Amino acid sequence: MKLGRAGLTSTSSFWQAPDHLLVVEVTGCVEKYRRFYFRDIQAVIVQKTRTRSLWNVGLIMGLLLMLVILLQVSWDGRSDDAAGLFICAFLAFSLIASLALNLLRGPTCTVLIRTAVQTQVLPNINRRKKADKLVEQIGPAIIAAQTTPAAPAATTTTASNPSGASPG
Amino acid sequence: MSSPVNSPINCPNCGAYFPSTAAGLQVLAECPACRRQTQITVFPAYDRPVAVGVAAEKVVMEGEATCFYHPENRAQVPCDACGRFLCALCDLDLNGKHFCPQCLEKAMTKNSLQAIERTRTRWDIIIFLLLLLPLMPCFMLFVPVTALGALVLIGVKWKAPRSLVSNARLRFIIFAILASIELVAGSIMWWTMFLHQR
Repeated sequence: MKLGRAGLTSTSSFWQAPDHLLVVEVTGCVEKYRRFYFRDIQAVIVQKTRTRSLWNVGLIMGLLLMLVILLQVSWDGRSDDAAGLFICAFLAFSLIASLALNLLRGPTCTVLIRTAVQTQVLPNINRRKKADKLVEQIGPAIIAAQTTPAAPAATTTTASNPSGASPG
Repeated sequence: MSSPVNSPINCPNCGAYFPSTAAGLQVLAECPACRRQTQITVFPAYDRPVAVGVAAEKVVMEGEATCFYHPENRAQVPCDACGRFLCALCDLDLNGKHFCPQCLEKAMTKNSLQAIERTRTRWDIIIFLLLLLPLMPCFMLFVPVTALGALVLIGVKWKAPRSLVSNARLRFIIFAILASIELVAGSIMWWTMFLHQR
């Protein structure tokens, strides 16, 4: 079952298997796999980051700069600056669209999965909405895997395989 | 054997420990040091004692099966790959299958066990890039070469391990058709540009 896909330079997709979460990260021509077995997941940590606020500040500053340039050009009233005016208007519109998109996509965050032996960051899940959706979907599967009678046996198996928390 | 408790959950940003949490809870906490808002969903595995490994049993009677790697230890299971007897120390459990360290290492090198496979090369992406290369003006003349290369690569890598999650075989078929079209078009272009002028 596919849970989601994210990323710009490298894409990541999340797949729910019966007993584990498979994280597939494609960078260039190589596909990397990481498996988090539900029986080993101790906690999912979602922490708010300041990335959205920083982007907002940067975009607003850019927008103000564009407005100043636009006002300057229109104040001079030179007709030969039509191309410059158009470029400034286009850039200003792009900045407004980016700002709106950044606000609409919600707060930014980082998501980590903790097992007995490691704490791993999930790549490319950097928006709270996506993180909540992922936790909502895998949460019941994790609880089911850890509350079934087979779960204690699964814990003892990690005894002989310390890296068994996520072999992939 | 197990140690009593897991270490407390710490902040991903500053490393400070959060106050203790109970399993089955979704806690919205603030980091005591950096004040970042953090949502922690704790699962029952957190409350379970950490398993620390099993000690191998020593041979007490003569004639008992012993570990291939440790003749002084009693054998517990055979390796599912090579059949050698293994003690608790050498037994590596992987989803209910038992492997000796040597077989597991071999499997990791050869990527023959899907459960521990970590990377695969996406040949379909490489072939796609090879087909796109002639779209760049400086490579336009090399259309027949890149198309032929793509076709050879498709043939050679037809049985290579494919992506676990996408349908690479279908892409191979589509790219083979595209490469054939490129090869024909490129050959015609070469013939009109170089051979026809003679």
